[in-house]
Amino acid sequence: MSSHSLIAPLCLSLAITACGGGGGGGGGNNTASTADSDSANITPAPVQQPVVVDEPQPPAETTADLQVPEGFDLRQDYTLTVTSYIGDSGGNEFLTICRNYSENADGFDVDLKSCLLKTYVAGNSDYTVQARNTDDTLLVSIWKLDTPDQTQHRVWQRQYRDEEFIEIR
Amino acid sequence: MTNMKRKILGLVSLLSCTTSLTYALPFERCPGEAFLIQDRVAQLYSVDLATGFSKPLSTPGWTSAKMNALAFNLSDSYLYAYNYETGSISRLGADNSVVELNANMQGLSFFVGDISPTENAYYFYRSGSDYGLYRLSLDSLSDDYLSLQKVISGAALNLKIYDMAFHPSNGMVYAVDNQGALWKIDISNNTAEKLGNTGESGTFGAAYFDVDGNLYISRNNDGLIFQIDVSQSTPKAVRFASGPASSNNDGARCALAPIVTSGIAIADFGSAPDSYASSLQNNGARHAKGNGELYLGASISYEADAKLSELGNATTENDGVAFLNTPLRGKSALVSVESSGAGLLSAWADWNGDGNFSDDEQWLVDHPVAAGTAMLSYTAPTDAAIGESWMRFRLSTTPRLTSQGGAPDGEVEDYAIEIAEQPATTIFYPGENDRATLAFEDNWPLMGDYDMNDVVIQYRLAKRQLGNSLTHIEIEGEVVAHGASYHNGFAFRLPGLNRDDVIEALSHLSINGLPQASVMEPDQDDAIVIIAEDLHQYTTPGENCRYYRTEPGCGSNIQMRFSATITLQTGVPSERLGDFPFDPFLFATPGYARNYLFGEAPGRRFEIHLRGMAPTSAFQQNFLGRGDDASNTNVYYVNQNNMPWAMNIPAKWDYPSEYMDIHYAYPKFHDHIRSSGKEHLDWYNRENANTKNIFNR
Repeated sequence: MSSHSLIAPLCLSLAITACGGGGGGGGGNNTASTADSDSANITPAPVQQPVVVDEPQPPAETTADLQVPEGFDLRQDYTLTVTSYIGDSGGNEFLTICRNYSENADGFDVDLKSCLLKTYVAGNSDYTVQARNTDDTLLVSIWKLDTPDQTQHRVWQRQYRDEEFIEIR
Repeated sequence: MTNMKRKILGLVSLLSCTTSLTYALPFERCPGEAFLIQDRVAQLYSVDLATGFSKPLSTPGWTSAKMNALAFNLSDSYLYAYNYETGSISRLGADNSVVELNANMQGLSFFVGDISPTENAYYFYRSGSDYGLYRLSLDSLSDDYLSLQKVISGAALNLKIYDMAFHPSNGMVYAVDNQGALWKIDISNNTAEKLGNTGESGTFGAAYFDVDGNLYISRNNDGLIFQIDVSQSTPKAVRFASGPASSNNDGARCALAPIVTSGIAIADFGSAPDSYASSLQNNGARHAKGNGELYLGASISYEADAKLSELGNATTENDGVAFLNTPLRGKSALVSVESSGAGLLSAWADWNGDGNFSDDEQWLVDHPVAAGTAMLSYTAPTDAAIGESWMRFRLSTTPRLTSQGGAPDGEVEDYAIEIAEQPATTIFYPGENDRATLAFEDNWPLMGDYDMNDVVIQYRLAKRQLGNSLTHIEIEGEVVAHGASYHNGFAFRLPGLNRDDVIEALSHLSINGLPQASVMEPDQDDAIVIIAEDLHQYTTPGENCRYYRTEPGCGSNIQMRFSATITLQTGVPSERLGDFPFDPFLFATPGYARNYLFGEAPGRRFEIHLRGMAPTSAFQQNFLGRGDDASNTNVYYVNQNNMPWAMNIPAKWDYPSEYMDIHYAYPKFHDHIRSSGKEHLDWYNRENANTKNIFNR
């Protein structure tokens, strides 16, 4: 039975997120540039002020005043590239990347309903998954379907790099 | 207190005491439960025939006698039984009272008996030429009250039976003998007819009827309850439930009662299509609550009948089973099963795809499990039918369950599965059983109030591929809030895919379980899945509420759930499809006005996307830049502060309540934004919420 190593290399590059910029000139045109035919006789709905229920007052700034820094796209997830260099298992090995797991005396209990990726091991392959920004670790497992007790598990740790990836050899 | 008052009170007390001793409490008029009497010192049980669940009715010491020939008397709602200790009959009350009746039984004892539903008379049977069928009047006004009369000679009616039951309407008595023969006895003309063999033999110590004319017989040695439709030309015994076993057993019930009361949640049912035997009418798999401590996963629900699923539209109440891999023909597969306690687990798979679970399709038989999660292995046959099918799991303390019928405890869970020919890949967002949340402000292009609850949708996406080719895309979710007066439609564009990439005939969309006529938006080059044209068609505010699930006290159940499976042409490369979460967007429902910036109802020309996502070709481009919108060619759908009108949170999110700025519901949100997302990554988690400012039902 071959064994495979799960490697999580570091990737060195500065964070560049998509769709930076925006804002600035030209915005804020409060009149329709092309008229839809009938006149505007609809009054804007009043925006009611929030009512804070007996909790300490946070700083008195509303989200209407909030400035989003240039280049921040507000995404709450990150892209993770998974590359498998394992040869075709003939349907006998299975790869999962799952969010929820716990360690026990025998290894790991994996919540199979929390998986981001489920795939048969079928030769060199690339997969792209989106993980939550709060996903500091994920559990990478290679299941031996005929001999489940030989399943391999490794915890992958997020490196907080521009490109996150997992290589499985 | 005066002496007179004391005397009056004493008299009242004496009268009350006398009354309770003389008039025992009857049972309800015609109870749906069955009654079972067992053991050498009689114990009385109620039995739910639908599941076999039984519970003791008698308290210790209620009698020292052995009793048999139990019968329910519709005339007075008491149970009656032959009492071996007194050699007479006893009347049993709902309050554990046992009243001895001085019947002249001619020195005979009986263990077979029932009371006619149409006359106030108790019938007994004893085999042997010296005995036969007897009648005992229970009508105190009749001349033969409590006087036993032989009505059919044992020489003419010699049956090896252990209980008998009156039909609810035809006046006949039915019994199944130890060889499995079903007998019909006509007490009006003293004849008996053998109706055929039921296919089950043994000592059937308890027999009951329901109002529909189904006979139920309980076998002593294994407690199995069989149902027989006696109106059939060749009546067969169908295994119906697993009840209590006993060497000494007799049953009774009101034959005019249905087995279950309509609308009452009696059991946990399966959810597979009814060809797999799921509904009560189809003798579906069902489990009584038992002690309520044995179930699959974290919870269990009870229903009056099965909530049936169709292929591709499985219910989501199951939570005890997780599949590792899609089974391949002839290959091993793994599944994890979570149990709340010790029990016996059985499983079936419809390998040949014929729509039922046959005996040889059971792949797990009474596998003992303990509390916790067990990983189990199974192998799909080499000739398994490729495609969608179903798997059933049953957990109970009762052994030898079949794929159908009742069980006195535990749970059944059914799962739609796919049997694959080739090894496939599935990628989920945000996780296989997780949810992400889309939160919209729908006043675009005007800035909203940032309560982010005008439309809130929780959803999950998946894409499946073979090698590098996409095969399917799955979209499922639910509209959890609609704090909007505007009429909004909701759609997903599949970025990078064309409508021609989709095989529409093999694609499906259902809302609340109902298949929709179309899935893809017509007249578009892009692949756009229209989930709904108007969410208001599905969501309604509660009473005294303006909106659906945004105001305090305005909670309701989820009113709109959707599920779509998009089947793609062969050979669509996976890299063509954009990243999760694809491109979800709102559009204006045609015919309904938006804000004052639109002179007429903009309809499909109006869209709100996540920040940075370009509108579709249906959008009217010159809407950009109106109001507070500051879209430009680099980034769409932001205002001058770079704030969007829609946010995607890759988790289930408790959204702010109506008019509550997100900042007041999630105090770390602003710092998260100011840090360009580097701080407070978990700002949206409930533990970081001001819970008084999020929506609470």
